Amino acid sequence: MRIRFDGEDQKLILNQQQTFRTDAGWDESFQSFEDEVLESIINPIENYETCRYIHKPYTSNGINQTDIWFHFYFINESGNYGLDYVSQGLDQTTKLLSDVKNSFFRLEFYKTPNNEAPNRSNRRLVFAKNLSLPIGERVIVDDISTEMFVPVFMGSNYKNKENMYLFWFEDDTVLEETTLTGTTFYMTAKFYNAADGSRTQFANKQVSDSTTFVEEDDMYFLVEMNRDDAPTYHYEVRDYDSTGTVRGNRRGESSDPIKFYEIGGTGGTSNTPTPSPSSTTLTPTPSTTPTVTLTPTPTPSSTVTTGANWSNGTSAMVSTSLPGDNPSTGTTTGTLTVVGGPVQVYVSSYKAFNYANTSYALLEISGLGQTAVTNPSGGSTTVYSSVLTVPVGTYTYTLSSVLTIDGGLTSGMASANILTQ
Amino acid sequence: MENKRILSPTKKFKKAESEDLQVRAGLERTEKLLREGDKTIILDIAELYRKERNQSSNYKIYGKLNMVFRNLYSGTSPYSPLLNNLFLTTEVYDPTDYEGFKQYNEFAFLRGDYVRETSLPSANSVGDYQPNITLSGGTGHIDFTQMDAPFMNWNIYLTYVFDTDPDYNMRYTLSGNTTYEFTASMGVPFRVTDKGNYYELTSPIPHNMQQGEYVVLSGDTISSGSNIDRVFGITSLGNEYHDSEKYTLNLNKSDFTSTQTISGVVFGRKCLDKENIDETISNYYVRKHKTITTIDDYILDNAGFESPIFEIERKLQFETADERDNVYVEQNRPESVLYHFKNSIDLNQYRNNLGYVPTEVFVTTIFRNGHGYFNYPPRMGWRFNMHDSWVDNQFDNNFSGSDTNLPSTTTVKDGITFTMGEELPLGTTLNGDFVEYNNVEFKETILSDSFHKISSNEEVFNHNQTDPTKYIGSSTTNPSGYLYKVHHKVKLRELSPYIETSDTDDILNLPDNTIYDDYLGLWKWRDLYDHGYIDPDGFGTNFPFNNNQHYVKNDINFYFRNEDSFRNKAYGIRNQRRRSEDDIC
Repeated sequence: MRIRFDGEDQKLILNQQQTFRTDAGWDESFQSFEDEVLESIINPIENYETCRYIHKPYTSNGINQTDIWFHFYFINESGNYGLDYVSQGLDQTTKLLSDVKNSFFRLEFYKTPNNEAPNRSNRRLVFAKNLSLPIGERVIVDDISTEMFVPVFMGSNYKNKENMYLFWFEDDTVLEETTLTGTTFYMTAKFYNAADGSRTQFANKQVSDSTTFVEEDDMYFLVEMNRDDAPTYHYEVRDYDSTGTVRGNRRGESSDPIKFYEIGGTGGTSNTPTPSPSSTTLTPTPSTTPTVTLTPTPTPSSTVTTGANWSNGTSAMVSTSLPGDNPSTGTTTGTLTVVGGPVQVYVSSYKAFNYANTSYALLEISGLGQTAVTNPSGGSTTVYSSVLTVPVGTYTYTLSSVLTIDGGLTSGMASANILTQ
Repeated sequence: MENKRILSPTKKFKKAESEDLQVRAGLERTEKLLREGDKTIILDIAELYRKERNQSSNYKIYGKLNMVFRNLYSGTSPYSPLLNNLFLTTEVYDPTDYEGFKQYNEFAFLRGDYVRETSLPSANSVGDYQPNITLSGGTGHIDFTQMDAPFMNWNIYLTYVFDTDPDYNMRYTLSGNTTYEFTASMGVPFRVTDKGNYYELTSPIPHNMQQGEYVVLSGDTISSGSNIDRVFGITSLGNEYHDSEKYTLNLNKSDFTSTQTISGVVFGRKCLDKENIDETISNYYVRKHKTITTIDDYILDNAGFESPIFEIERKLQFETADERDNVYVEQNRPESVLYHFKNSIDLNQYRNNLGYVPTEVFVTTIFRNGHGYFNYPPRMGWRFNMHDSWVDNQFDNNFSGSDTNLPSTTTVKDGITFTMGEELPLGTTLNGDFVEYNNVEFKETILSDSFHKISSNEEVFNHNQTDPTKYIGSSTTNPSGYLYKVHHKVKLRELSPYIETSDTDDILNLPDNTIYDDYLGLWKWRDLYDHGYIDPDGFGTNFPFNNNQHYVKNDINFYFRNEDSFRNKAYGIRNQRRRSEDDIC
């Protein structure tokens, strides 16, 4: 600072509080730097909180609601798809035997890097949800007057809440620097059978032959979570097909449930209608995915493709407990139509883990004869009769399932099923 | 070189514990460049956690709401959807002689009578499954679904106090329907009793005054002059009743001039120093709240495994008015629900009525009246408007001071107009508690909690709520009804009970809540306690801290009071014992 002399007194005012701090801001900058380093190397703040995602509301029967529906189809011994546990060897009555209590469906939710089409090499299991059999729906089966569990599940905030809610991070901070961010998930299902320890994988559509199964297209539903739109934190389930329209129609509504189908079988068909073509945008392209087999046209429940049509189904069931009729009998009677050539049929008699009882299956075909088999006390779970050849024509048939309680047990169930070679 | 003082941790707060200190050399001491090793940081997880915890201003509020209520009004209804769903006092409906209670669903946090899809599947044989989904439920009045059920009767909001209103119009009614109108700034209402050589002043709420302090009176009988002419020393507190020192002042008549006499009801403001009235007199006002959440921001769930001590009062109605047999009806259900605000709130973005970051927010519960069976909007009042055997005129429909101005919509059915509440938008202003603030004590004191009152629409449900012979003071514009506390406090931070003072010039580093006290000539503030610090007197906060947010659990006993049977807690043991004869809290 220069003071020019001009022959007069000068006043220089010095502000005592004035300091020229050339280091101003250094401490603050260093403190900020220190905080950043500390945060990055130890205990960075990340949000691990998970929150509840509700099934996205939709309108059904004129009301706004969130119920979500699942149907799980098993392949029965006739090779048809059905909503029952008979082929799984479970006593599906509501007596809550241990095999029923301990069996469950497992919904598995996967993520893939950058939402690639999921397969076993790139998918990451992020969470799962178990659906225990006893929380499933029940139905009274008219011909045996028995209430039974069926592989149909409904989740609502009115009952069975645990089916409906999903829990996931409320933001993606813990997944940053990974390729698993985002709110897209792929859902598939398995069935864990406590009766025999088996595990059954399900597909998102009917797959008639397991050798033609394409995982990316046939196994998953798309689950999309949403953190922003009202109601905050919700999800919806959609069809998924990696080769067609990836984001298909919404599923899970009461009129349009999520349908899982057991993989495999012998070219069987469903005894329940499949979604009509108009309600799906799945457009499989045979030229690129010849392995995908869709059955877009509804199949009448009583139609089979093996040349035989059993008007009232191919099973008969009996269930009893003492005191009650002993032996007791369940019967199915109807009309058999054979076309295109003779068919060979036989019957099985099945006892669901009540070895001490005796079961008996009898198929009588008018004007032709009968075939029968006895499953004796102490015998195996399922036995088969000899084969009966049925020529082309129309017949009356009667299928009977007889259960005898021999002692030791006071209750039991048995079923008789018609099988075609 | 600048001198620096190292403050002992024991002086951080009053009675704070001692701890080791680290002294970091300031960079300004040297001109040399920082070299590796010059700055050593000791990694201390506990210290880092403490630091992060106290830097975080994110709070997530959740808890349990317990309804404490007994449904006691039985009456009649000309409106068939309600009539058909009454909990009748008789087994069979007799159109010429019947009474019944509204079912508990009309009061419930979570209604259970919504329209829903019900599955009634059928099957002819094993493997067969025919879905059969039908609609069930409903009340026959207004159909609503499970999505609407948690929001039909009650709505919950988070609010904070952002302003005050000292000019709020209030009423206080004595038995005999004598009504006194005043503004909040006039202070606490006192009933005057002439005791010969002294006046006994009795307030309906704790007056928060001490012996040796002063009271500045105003009112119809003592309105002339200024404050200096109407300030009187508090000679003593209380009378012969237990705990009465909180409610009763005694003023020596010798302090009054020969022309000053008081009677009826007067209003008093606390004053600490007769010589400095303006600086030491208390301010009285009604707090104003602002909503910071909407109804989309919270979830209500039934509490699992909750088993309240009160029984469910229910039965199978043998025959209802519409001739349905064996219908399940509930008069009372001790309801316990979980509330949960989905997102955390960042407290730093708000400033309270005193100008600093709030230390508390409120869970504000508003009756929504989604069915429209009650008069709407609710009327506003305070704890001192609740009497044993008469209705306070504060709640009169024609009095602006009780108008909550809540938004509503109407619908007409069977010639009856039903008024339903609407959801409150973000930033809605609501009136709150009646509060005293004294600048010297540097403290707000809640004198009287705010209450809302609802009453049944007489056209829909008549339980003689407008009949003054059934309940004194009730009228068509002021029917008797139900009362509930609106704002429930959630403490988030703790200010010290003591006051720090300083005459420093370094005002930049003074705390957020500092004010300059002209009376003392000092800066003063209250220390903001760290989270996790609880002082020897039990003051402090210690919430679980995770995910960069504090999880604040706040359970609320929600007392929903029947005005007819409400009793104030009376003086003395004898009168307290008599409360056991009461029907309800």
